[in-house]
Amino acid sequence: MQPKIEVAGVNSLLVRFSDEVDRSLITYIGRFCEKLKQNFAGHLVDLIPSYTTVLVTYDLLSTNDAQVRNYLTSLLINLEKERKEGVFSQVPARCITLPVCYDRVYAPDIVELSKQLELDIDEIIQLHSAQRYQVYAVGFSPGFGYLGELDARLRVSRLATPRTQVPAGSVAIAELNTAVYPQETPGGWWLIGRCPIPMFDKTREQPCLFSAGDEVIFEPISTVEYKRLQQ
Amino acid sequence: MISDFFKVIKPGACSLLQDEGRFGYQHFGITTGGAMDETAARWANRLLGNSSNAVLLEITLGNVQLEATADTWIALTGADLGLRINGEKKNNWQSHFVRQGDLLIMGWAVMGVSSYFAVVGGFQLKSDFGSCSTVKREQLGGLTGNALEAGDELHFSSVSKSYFPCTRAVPCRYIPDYSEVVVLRVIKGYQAEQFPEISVKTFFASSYKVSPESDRMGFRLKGETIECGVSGLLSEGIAYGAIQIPADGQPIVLLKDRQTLGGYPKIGSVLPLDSYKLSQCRAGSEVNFKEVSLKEAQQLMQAFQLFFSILT
Repeated sequence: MQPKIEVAGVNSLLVRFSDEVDRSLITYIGRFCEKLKQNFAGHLVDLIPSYTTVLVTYDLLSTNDAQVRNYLTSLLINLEKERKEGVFSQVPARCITLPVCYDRVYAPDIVELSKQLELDIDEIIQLHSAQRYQVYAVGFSPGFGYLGELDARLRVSRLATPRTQVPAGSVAIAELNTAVYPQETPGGWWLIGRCPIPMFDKTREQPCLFSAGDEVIFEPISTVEYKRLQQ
Repeated sequence: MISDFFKVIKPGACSLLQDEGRFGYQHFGITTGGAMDETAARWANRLLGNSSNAVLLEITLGNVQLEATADTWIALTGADLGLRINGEKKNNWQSHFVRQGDLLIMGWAVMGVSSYFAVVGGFQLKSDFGSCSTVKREQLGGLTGNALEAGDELHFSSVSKSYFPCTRAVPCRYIPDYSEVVVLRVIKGYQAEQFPEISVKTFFASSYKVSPESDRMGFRLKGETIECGVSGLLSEGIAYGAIQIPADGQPIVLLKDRQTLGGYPKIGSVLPLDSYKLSQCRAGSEVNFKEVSLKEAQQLMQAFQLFFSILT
C-alpha cells in the first residue's frame, strides 16, 4: 500500500503506512522518524510512531500544512528507494531480556487463564517466555510497550471487567499482545506475572527500557530472585 | 532568594503548576500536559511581561489561600475567584502588587473552571523532560508530581513595586464570558471519511452537554449517538483536541493530559482556541460543533500565537 498523509489536527498530520500490522513496518517507521528528526527538527513539535502510523506535530509559527506535506512526500519517496535497495534489513534491533516472576502471588489471573485456555500453568509460562517479541509501539502511558505477537495458543480477549488498579510491573496479556505495566494504572489485561525492573524511570539516562522496533525476551525467575532484583 | 515564596495555606481542590507543556517525549508515552486554558494562562503571563512558557498555577474551581514571604507583582485570570489581598477585594484579569506578609484569599469560582495565578518571572522549580507541567498520572512536573498541598512553597524572584509603574488589566473586549454556549470548530480528519454521512450530519447538527466525568485527559460529551461503522482500529497517535467516538457513540474531546495512543475512531480535532474554551465549561454546559477549514484554522492559531509572542 502507498503511504497516505491524513489530517489529524490543526498542526498534526498522520502518516498511515498500511492498514495492517506487519513486523517489517516497524523498521520502516523507525527509519522514517529518524530521518524526520535529522532533517526537519526545527519544525517538529512531537512524533508519535505506532503500529502502522506516525503522528507528526509541527510548529505552526515556522511552517504550514503544504510545506510539511511536501517534505513528507519527498521523504517517503526516498525511503521507498532505500527499501528497494535493501538498506533497512541491516539495521539491527536491540534485544532486551526482562526477568519475570510467574509465581501465583504476582499472577492473579493465571489460574483462571489456565482453565479458559485449557493449558497447564507451566505451559502458559513456557509459551510466554519461549518467544522473542517485537516492540510495536510505546505509548498509552510512559514506558508502556505493546509487544507482539503472542503465541496463538495464548490469545484471549480482554477481561470483561477491567481492574481499577493494576500493580506496577505486572506482566499481562490480551489479544495479540503482551506488556509490562510501567505504573500503577487501571487495566483490562490478564495478569500472569511481575517484572522487578522499572519500565520507566525519569532519573535514568534512558527513561524507557525499550523503543518501537526493539525486541524483548521474558526470562522466568523465582520469587527469591524477584525480591533480590527488586532491591 | 531562597526565602522568596508563596506559602500554601489552602491548596484548593486541584491546583497544579503548569507551563505550555512537555513536548518531544510523546514517543515514550509521556503526555504533554500544560495549562488547560491557554488563552487565560497566556494573559496572566502577559500582564506581567513573562514569557508564555513561564510557570504559573492552574487553580481548579478555587478555594486557595497563599501567604507572600516577599514583594512581587502577581496576575490572576480565568474563572473569577473574588481575590482578596489582606481582605481588600481585587479585580480578576489584572495585575496586583503584593507585599511581604500579605494574605491572598481566592474563593470558589461561580462560572468557569480554571484560574491562572502568575508571578513576575514565573515560579521556580526543577523541570522534568524540559517542562514543569504537573501530570499527576505520570508523577511528572510540579513540586512532587502532584497537586499542591498545604505547606508547599512556591518560589519566585522578588521584585519591587517600581518594577511596573501601575497595575495592568486585560482590555474588556478580550475578557470571555464563561456562561456563553461554546461552539467547537472542528477540523475534519482521521477516520472522518469512514463515518456514515448521516452520522457526520447528526454530529454537526446536534447539541451536546458536558458530562461530569470530564477531566484534564478529556471532556466527555452527552447527546445524540454517533454511529461510526469503524471498529478494532490499531492504536495511533492522538492529537490535541482529537474527537474520539467510542462504542457508545458519545464523543470525547481529548485534551492536555490525553493518552498518547488510542484505538477508537476519531472524526477530527477541535480547533485549539475552542478546546481552551471547552476546558472552562462546567458539567451540563451546552456545546455545538461547527466545521472549519484547515486553512482558516491554521490562520487563526498563527494569529493567536503571534498576538501572544509580542511582549508588552
